[in-house]
Amino acid sequence: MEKKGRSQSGAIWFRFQKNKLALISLVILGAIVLAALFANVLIDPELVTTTNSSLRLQTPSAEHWFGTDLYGRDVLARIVYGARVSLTVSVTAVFGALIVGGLLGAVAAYFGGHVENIIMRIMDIFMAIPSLVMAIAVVAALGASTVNLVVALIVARAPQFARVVRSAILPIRDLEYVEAATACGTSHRRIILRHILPNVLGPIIVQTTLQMGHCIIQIAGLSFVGLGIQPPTPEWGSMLSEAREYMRRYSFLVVPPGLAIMITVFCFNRIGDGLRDALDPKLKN
Amino acid sequence: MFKYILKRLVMLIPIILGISFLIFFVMSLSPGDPARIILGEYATQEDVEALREEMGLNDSLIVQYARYIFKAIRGDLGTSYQTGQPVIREILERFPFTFKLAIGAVMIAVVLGIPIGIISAVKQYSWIDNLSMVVSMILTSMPGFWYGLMLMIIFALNLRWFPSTGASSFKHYVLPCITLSCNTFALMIRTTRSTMLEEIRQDYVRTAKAKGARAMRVIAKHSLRNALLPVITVAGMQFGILLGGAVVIESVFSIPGLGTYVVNAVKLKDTPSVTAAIMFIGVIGGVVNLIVDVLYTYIDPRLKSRYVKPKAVSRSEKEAA
Amino acid sequence: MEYRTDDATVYAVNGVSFNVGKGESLGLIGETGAGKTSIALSIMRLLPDRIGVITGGKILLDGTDITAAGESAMCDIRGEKVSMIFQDPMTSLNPVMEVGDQIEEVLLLHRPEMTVEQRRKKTDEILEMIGIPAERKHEYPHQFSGGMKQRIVIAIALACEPMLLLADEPTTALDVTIQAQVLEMMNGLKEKLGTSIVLITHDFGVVAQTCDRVAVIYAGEVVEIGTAYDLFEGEDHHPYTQGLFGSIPNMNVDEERLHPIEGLMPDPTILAKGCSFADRCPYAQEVCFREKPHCREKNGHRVFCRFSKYPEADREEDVEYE
Repeated sequence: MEKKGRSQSGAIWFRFQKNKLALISLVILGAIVLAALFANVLIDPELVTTTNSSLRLQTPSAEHWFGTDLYGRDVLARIVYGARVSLTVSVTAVFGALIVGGLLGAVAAYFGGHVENIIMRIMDIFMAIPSLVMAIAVVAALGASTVNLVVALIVARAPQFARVVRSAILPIRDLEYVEAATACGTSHRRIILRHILPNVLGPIIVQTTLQMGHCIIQIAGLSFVGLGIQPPTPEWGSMLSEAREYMRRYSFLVVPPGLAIMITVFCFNRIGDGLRDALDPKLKN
Repeated sequence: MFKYILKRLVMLIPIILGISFLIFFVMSLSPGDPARIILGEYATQEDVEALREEMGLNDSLIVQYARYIFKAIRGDLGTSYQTGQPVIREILERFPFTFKLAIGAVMIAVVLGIPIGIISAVKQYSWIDNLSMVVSMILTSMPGFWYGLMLMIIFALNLRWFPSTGASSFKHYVLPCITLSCNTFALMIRTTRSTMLEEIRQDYVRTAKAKGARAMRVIAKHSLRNALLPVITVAGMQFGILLGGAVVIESVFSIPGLGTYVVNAVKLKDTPSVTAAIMFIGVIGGVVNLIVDVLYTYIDPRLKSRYVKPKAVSRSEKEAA
Repeated sequence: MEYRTDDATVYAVNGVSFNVGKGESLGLIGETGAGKTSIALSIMRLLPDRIGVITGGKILLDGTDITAAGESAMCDIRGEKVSMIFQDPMTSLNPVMEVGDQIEEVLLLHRPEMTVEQRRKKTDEILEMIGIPAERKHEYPHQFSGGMKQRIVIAIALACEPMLLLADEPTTALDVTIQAQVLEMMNGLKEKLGTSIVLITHDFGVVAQTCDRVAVIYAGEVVEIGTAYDLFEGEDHHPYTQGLFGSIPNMNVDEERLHPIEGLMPDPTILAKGCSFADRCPYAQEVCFREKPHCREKNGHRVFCRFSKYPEADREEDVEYE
């Protein structure tokens, strides 16, 4: 069993690394994550928040690669620290949604009947509301702050996970080995955790990766309209919001935060696609 | 057919109620006391309590919700805290902007995305296919509002082809619509390509070729007709999502639509406006999905015959009788 | 002809040679994967793009070699001079097009001189001919049964009264009662319209019912060819043909069990140097693995085995019709 598991993951890796775009994305994303983790080692945290009016709105130079913003802060430094904020928030939100939605989906699929019906109808209603609108509703009720943003994103994304997990479990629910486990008197909780969850890991991993990308875009969007992460915390969306005010004359400020979002999201999406093809080669094309 | 539509409409009611209750519930979680907000910080506790009673805020959530819905059916969505205007009037004033934006975006995505998807599928692995795949990958990775800002810098501020902000003429809508369509456009390319690739490999395509039909005719008359059905559904389903996406894009281009309205109302803690506007977006999205679903049933003969009796059958039945 | 994929080249059809006369029906019989469908698709020039390639030989239709014809010329030939009926009627019709339009399309493509009225009338006639009421032409494929769908597919193939009809297992997907019905109809149409038919099948019963001549295909090669009488009652047979007869139940002889042919078909990615059946042949000698067998012939009945009792004959190279 152990050996089979290893050779299977080996085969998945073999298929994944054949997809060069996904492989390159993995390397780039690794670099972004490292930069975010060691941001305070790489760049003096002072640069991010200290304002200096004598350095306002400087065009890119050897000293300030991406120039400086309205308050004389180094844009590159803020981008790197912004990665930290974006990744932390989106990782927390996606994993939160995964736990909430995944459990709901698993419970629905496992118990079936009325439980399934009630949970899935409620999820349908959640899904009928565009996730961005749902997130705005939560922020509107709770107020704009980083914690509330995470809550809003969890509420908006959990139904997606519920659906993915449920549809991944449904086909294996009635398979013999699960029935065998039930016949042996194994508890529900144990069956879900030991027998079913390992089998739905594939779709969950793919969904998590793809949701990370969507989540980063939504965080930036909400922060851009002032409903997400509040200044002076360096965040890509709110940086763009600030840059927008001066874009007539200082358009160079608009480029870096957007590129940062785009590259990060692109990497997540390519890795997600690559994983999907690697995990289920039948689905390709 | 009429029966079927009616059935679908009836099925829509619980969805609408669900959406509105969900939003009503979420909004009721806000920590501030609406009565206190209306009366201001310096009002006495007795006055606040009296207003709470008058507004029905002491009733249970379900009762409050039921009252809200009955009023809403009569067209009363409450009064804005901020302007004192009926919320319904403000929403109807602003919705056309958002609607035009979303329609424009869907049109762009459909009109450009479908042909590109078809070419990609027919010329699979050609440079044009690779290019369109890369473009769609990039478009789906871009935050829409940033894409909008870049378009604005290039086409409004530098080239001066289009105005940068506002919504007073057709030209004002060009950049916002392109911006809003970016995700849907990419989605259309990918969906069309993959359904076309699937259809091209079907047996009936081989039959059509065996008839001596030329490649163009096979694509246009046979594959496309089959491939378009799912594509159109996807496009329709996108409409609701675009209404949501408009919230951010409107503020990029300062369009006075429902999106900017919601954002402002949230910032000003104007709960009745936020509740009503978000409900409105959710419900419209649901209704459009329904319409697309019904249309789909009508276009696809396999589904149609399940609900509508084709003329030929009824005629031969008459002859038999 | 070959199939070229990323992994390997499959030699699907190798040196096949036969001819079909006017109004004659030839059965191609062999196991699944023997290359029967590839032969038909080669004649139609409908091999999968970039993967299926005709590497040599000639296909003569009415004296002209169509391997050299351009795509545009082929479009004029398909449906007009050569038609094909595919295996699965369930998926062979366009699900979102009225069946009448699907039949009429052939006329539209090849009879541009006909008026709309004439085309409609002709479509109605064709439908009546295959036993489907003309007023059902506005219905969609899913409203018909499997046998009716196959008859519609046949109607499409016969709409322009082609010289040659390629029928690729036209009855495999149908149940037995409808099989007989469809075969009878094809026979009737052959006589009425004078069409030549190449019938691909792995069913001896079907061959016996419909075919004038039969070619036995093994691993992309013809191993035996002759009249239906030759095949069932002939003096001598290829060992493979003998094996095939051994593996079908005989109602007249009380036997304990069937005799399947031992072994599997050779790997089609490797071109055999000798006789392709040598691996499985009970009579194979060392020479069979080394050299291609010669053609042995008696009264038109040809057997491609060096141990045949028939005298040696010259071998023809081309695939020919009419």
